[in-house]
Amino acid sequence: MTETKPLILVRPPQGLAALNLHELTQYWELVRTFAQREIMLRYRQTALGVIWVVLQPLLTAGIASFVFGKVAGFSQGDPAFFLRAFSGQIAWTIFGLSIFKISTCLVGNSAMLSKVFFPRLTLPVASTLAAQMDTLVAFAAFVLLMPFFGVAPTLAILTIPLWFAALATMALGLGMMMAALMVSYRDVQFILPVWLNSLMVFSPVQWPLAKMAGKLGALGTLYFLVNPAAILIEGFRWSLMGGALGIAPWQVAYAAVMSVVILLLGLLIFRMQERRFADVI
Amino acid sequence: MSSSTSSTKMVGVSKLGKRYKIAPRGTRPGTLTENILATLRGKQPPKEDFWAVREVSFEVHQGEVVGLIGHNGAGKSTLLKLLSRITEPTEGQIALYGRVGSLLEVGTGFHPELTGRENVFMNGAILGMTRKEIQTRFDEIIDFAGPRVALHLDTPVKRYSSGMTMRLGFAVAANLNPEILIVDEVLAVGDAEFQKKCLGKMQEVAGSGRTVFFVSHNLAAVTALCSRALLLHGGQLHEDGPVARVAATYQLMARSGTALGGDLTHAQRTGTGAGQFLSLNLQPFAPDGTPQPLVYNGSTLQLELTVKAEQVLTDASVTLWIADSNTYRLIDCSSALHGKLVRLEPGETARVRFTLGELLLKPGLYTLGVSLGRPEIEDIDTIDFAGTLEVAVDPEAAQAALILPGAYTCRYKTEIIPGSELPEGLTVNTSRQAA
Repeated sequence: MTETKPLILVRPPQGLAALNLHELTQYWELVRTFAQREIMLRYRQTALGVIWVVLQPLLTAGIASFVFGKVAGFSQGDPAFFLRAFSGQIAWTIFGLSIFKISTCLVGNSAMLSKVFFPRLTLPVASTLAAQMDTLVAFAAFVLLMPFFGVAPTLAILTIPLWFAALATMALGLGMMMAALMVSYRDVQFILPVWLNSLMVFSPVQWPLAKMAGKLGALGTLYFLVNPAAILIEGFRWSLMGGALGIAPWQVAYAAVMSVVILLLGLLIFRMQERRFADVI
Repeated sequence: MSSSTSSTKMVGVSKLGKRYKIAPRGTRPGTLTENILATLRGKQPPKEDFWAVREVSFEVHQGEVVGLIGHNGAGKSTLLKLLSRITEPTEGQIALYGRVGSLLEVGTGFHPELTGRENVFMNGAILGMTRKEIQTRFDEIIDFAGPRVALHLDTPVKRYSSGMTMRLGFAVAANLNPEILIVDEVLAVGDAEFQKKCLGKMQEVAGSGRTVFFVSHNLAAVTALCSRALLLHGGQLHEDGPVARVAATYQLMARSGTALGGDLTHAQRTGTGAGQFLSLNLQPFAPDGTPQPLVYNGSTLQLELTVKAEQVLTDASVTLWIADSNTYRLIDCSSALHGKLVRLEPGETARVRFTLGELLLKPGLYTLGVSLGRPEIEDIDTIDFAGTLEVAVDPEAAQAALILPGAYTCRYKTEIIPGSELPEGLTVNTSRQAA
């Protein structure tokens, strides 16, 4: 009998799960297919189709610029206030909306999870890819709108990939936590929109940070420590709109570190819960 | 058996166990807050251990086709889920010496909104095929699925008939190229022609030197396809050996156990549903009248059906037939021939007992079909596969000396016993013997 090493050895899981990220490269094709499916499905049987990707943040930005610009009077004659609101909305698409989309990736595929094996990590990663495709389209629309508001890109725009990466990383980490928790506790799907909504209200998505900074005073530091996403959103807006950066370098560093920490934490929770998915879902 | 020690080991399972924690009856799962509070107080809600699979060990070699049989709840599905890595074991280990393709449900990952073409790629990717592999096999897949699917390749799958969806699903899976193929109950779908095609494909896969795990309740299919079978009972490996021997044990268990088999409430059926068969029980007797565990050529066989009326049943007759593996009906028994008709008020049950004397059938597997209705007028309840009948090889009779009829006929008598809930002792008194 030929005694060869087994290709796969299945054993009871012990202790902390290994992250096994190489599975992702092995199954890259599947990640792509999942992402493709999500994109294809999202706008099927809609009259406007992919236009919604742009229309949704545009409408929200329109409302925000009316409420905060006109009613609250934040715009103060800034002709590009709408564009400012739009840039915040794009940042929110990268972060908040992605968390929401990723959070359903397991529960939404429960039939598949209990019937076939594939690395579960492919699902949240594919959801991220699909969600960030929306961002790219919205970003293209933003660039097209810039000349109409007389905004010229500054050198700051070169930093955009950094903000984008940090926000998307943080979103993936939080999304994975939510997705894993939702398998056991469907409560997540009720509390998540509430949490995300409040997070949006408390982050400089629809209002300019400069207007708030003065009012916060010493609390400002604490605010950023609690909400590192706010730093990244503000940075993202700055990279698009130029002007003065309202956040300190140490805050940026803190946010970057936090996004990696959150990603690792998300991965860990996802991995630990993963072995239970098929049994619980 | 092809499991000679010289061939390559493909699957090695040792002391495999899977435990589920189940809440005792009458409790409900906790919410997040409840669970957190319980953990903080150090008081976990009581959970009972349930071993779906335990202490299972076996090896499978290259080119073997192994059937997995067992009754509902024996642990077949759990074992398949463990082998295909959907769920992780609690103890023991599985060593897989090749790529595993599992087919626990046809059309896994099919999305109703995607077109047939898109779903082929989706499904293929989930089952572990690369895009290139699917592309090169695309025509083959569509060809296998049949012309009707080919015609609607760019229609969303939600507009497909369920049969078409199944065909497409199996077509993708059948063209997978894993070294170890795991198949669960796929043959329960599709028409007879397609089932035959599926069986043929699996034979072909096995013939090409790959290893196949096949789970089915269809004992005839298992015996036709597999050389070796594993019998699971209560989560443990009860028997492992040549398929004929294991199938005989399985059938023996079905006879002796009370909860085993015989239940027809979940069977695939057609008819108006005004009445339903609840169960079918078999009891073979030796020619001298003593009960025996297995059916042999020349045995007397008692088959008892329980019928329940949903609506008023007037003058319905019960037909039972024995068919061979090609679904040819060999022996038909009708209660109407003896003038025995079922008359029941809604909710009432009755037992219909056919006693087949001197059953002259050669050893092999047969299927049992039952039908309730008024012939040519109304089909109330028909179950084409109500059970299997294995005529065992009689160790005391020489094969060559079997008495077999040129045509299949069988003398039988019919009894209708009203009220099935009556104790066994009472029913004997109330039963009316047929002439």
